[in-house]
Parts: sequence; C-alpha cells; structure tokens
Amino acid sequence: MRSAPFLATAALAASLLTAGSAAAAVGDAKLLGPLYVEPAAAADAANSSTAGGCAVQIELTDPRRDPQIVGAFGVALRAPDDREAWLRSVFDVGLKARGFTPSFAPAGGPPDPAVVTVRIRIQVIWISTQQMNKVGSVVLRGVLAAPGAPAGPEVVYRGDKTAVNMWGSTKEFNDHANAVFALALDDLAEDLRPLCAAPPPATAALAPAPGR
Amino acid sequence: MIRMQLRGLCAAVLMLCAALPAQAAPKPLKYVLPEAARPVAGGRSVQVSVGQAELGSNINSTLGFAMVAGGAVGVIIEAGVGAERAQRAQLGITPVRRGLMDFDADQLAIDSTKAALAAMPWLEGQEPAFSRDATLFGKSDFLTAAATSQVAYFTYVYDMAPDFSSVNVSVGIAIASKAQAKKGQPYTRLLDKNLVYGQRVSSVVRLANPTTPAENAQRWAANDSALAKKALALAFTKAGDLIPRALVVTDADVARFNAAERRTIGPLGGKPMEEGPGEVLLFNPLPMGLVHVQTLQE
Repeated sequence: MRSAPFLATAALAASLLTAGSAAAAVGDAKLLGPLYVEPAAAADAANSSTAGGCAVQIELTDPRRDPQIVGAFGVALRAPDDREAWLRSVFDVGLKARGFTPSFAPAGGPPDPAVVTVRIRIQVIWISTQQMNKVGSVVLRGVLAAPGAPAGPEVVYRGDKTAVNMWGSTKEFNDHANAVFALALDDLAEDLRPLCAAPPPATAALAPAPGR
Repeated sequence: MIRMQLRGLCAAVLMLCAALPAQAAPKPLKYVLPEAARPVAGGRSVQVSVGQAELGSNINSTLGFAMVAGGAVGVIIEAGVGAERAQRAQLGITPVRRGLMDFDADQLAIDSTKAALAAMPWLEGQEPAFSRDATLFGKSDFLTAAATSQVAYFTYVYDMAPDFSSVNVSVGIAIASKAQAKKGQPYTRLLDKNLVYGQRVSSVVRLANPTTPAENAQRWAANDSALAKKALALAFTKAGDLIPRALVVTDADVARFNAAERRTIGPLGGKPMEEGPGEVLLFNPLPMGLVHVQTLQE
C-alpha cells in the first residue's frame, strides 16, 4: 500500500519529460489560429508610438513553396485553412496596433498615389524546435513608397526569436509565431512612419477620389 | 510522508535517466537493399521533403551530461544554456541567410534527387513531389495517397556546423511500403524498424583554414554569401551523387568498409571508403551513414 504514492510520484515525474515527445508522436498536423493576435508586450510597445492613423495600402504576395506548412514540432504546423485571411490579419491587426490604417490592394494593381504603399513578399514563416528550444523566423521583403513617390529599394524585415520550449503545446507555438511577426512588424512600422510624414505630391492631393 | 515523497522523486529522476538514453538510441535500419528487393512492380512514387524554410543553424547538445550531472535540475539548466546557444547561432547565421534570400535550396534538393533517380533507373522512381512537411505523419499521408506500393523518400537538411566551419547537406533516404504495419497507426509504416530501406548520406563542405565561429560566419556571409552559395551548390550536387551509391551498398561492402581503420576529420569520423586530394568519403554506422567531406577552394 505504501508503495502506491511512491510509484505514482515516480511515474508522474517520469511522464513529465516523456509526455512531450509522446504527444508529438501521436496525432496529425497542428493548425495555427485563424487570425494573427498582437502579443501583449508588443501591443503595449506599439501603442506608445503611434502613426496617427496614417493610411497604408498593402499589396501582399506569398510565393513560398508548400506555403500551408509553416513549421514542425514533431508534427507539422499548418497555416490556417484560409491562409490569405490569416496573412492579411497580420498586417491589418499588426499595423492598426502600431497606429496605421491599413488597406489591401490586389497583387499587380496600380498603387494608390494618395497613400503610403507597401509591397510585401513573404519569404519565410517557420516555427520549429531546436533541441529544447522553440525557434521562429519570419522574413518579409518590403518595397515601400511615400504617397505618389517612386518605390524605394527592397528592405528585408526579419523577426527571429528563440525561447525555451515549455510545454510543446499548439498555443505555445501559435504565440511564438505571433511574437516573431510582431518583431518584423515593429521594423516595418519604423520605416513607414517617415513616409507618412512626407507631404503628398500636388497631383495626388488634387486627384479626384475614386467614383467621383 | 515527506521522506516517502523524496524517495519517489529520487526514483523518478533515476527513471528519467534510464529512460532518456534508451529513447535516444538509434534503432537499426535496413541499410542494405538486397538485389532481389530492388525492382518493384509499378515503380515507386518519390517525395522530396525539406523541413526548413532557410539555412539551418546547429548547436551542440550537452543533454547527456546534464542528465548525468544534474538529473532534472541539469535538464532545466541545459534548457537555458541551449536557448542561449541557439540565440548565438542565430545571430551568426542571419547575415549568411540574408545573402541566400534568392538562393533556391528547395530546387537544388529537387534537382539532386532527379539526378540521383536518373543514375538508378532500377528504382523506377516517378517524378518527385515536393513537401515542406518532413514529419512521419506527412510522409504517411503521402504513402497512403500514393498510387504505387512503395514510396522512396528523400528528406533533406541543410545547415551550418555549430562553429560555422562547414556547410552540411544531409539526405535521409527511406523506402516504405504501403502495407500497414500496425492497424489504425499508419505512420508506423515510416518507423525505422518497418522501412524497406533506410540510409543517410551527408555532404560536408569545409572552409579552408577555419578560425573562430564569428570570423567563419563572416567569411560565409561576405559578398552576398558568395562562399555559402558555392558550398551549398557543391554539397547538394555531391549529396545527389551519393544517393545512388548508398542504395547499392551490399553486406560485403559494409564488411570491407568496417575492416578499414577509422579516420577523423575535424569533428567527423568514420571508415574511409575512398579518398582523393582534398576529399574523403567515410562510412559510418547510422545515424550518420555515408559522409563525404571536402574543403572549399576559395
């Protein structure tokens, strides 16, 4: 009878380390949440430096191979089924949290000369493990332009983060994905702010609004 | 009662120490494909998987030491040290990755596999399908959907040595049969013990005269990662050359390789299969398999 708690404690403790790999070894791919969620710490930092609601038009392309797979931790980590809506939410939620007013333009369409425009090409989204850590990287290739101005050179925005893998849960990896996106968005926002401050060219300011 | 809980905790730590090395031990693979098993009716579907989105970094593990030295506490310390080491590795590799932005390593993996398939028509490999999902479950799904009775998998990993002294491309080769190994658990068809064949080939391209990790990383990253591009192209091509060789290794070959004296080149070791100026091909028990080492001519 006395051996029962002894064995139970031992078995429980032993299972703590093995549970992660067992959980990872059974089951199918894990899905990221349907939309980007601004990490709490990033949201606080973003609010301290706003962009006054500056309008930003975003053209988003995702030429990655097999883009639905965005990582692995024993099982594959998959992007949400509506990947386009998820990626848009990264910029919609993320840039609003940083004080911008984002809108989206179809790929290849003419840029709106009245607002700041950004062409974003997704290069990397990858969340995985490295020994006892979770590692994540997001790489965005951006071409930015002030209202009505020619586009600038391509700039690479990276979000990289490594942290101890605590529980190996889908939520933990989902949060990690949001965190690396937030890091890349911080740098993007930094480059967008001066463009918002640039005065719009006379032709753009006088151009009639669409539909007039 | 407290004494009993302490005894339980001690026993748990001992169980953990006993359990982990057992988990880490590689299971024997069928690394010789008998001649009679080479042809298969209907040929084989082929999958190329690259379970990474850019050049990988690598860190040394001291997990075994941590378990022996500190049990569960050691594991917690190791986790912190590992995270710090991983962050440092990421810092070193980021400039190299920047230069490789338009370098299509996935395409190199596909091309290397195609070259290997062309060199071994007996495999009857079909047009390779690409996947980013290199997990057992992803492979199992592919096997289930395949129109052939067997699938040949080529799983690529490309990364840099922890000290940035080399670029490494390794390919896990596996042939799995569609037949169910365990009812309700289709992924078990991909477990090592159930494979028709399993082997690994690696191609290591070393910097000439490597120095400190920071300096090595700078050399790889210089001129838009010119050296890294050159080394990766070499490493992928060599990996493609090694695949057909690995698949026709016989038991007699293995006995012959094993009789040779072990050689060590930097952190790598094995029984030399052949040597040339500035390069050597080593044979190792799995999980290393065939390892080709060459020094980059800058």
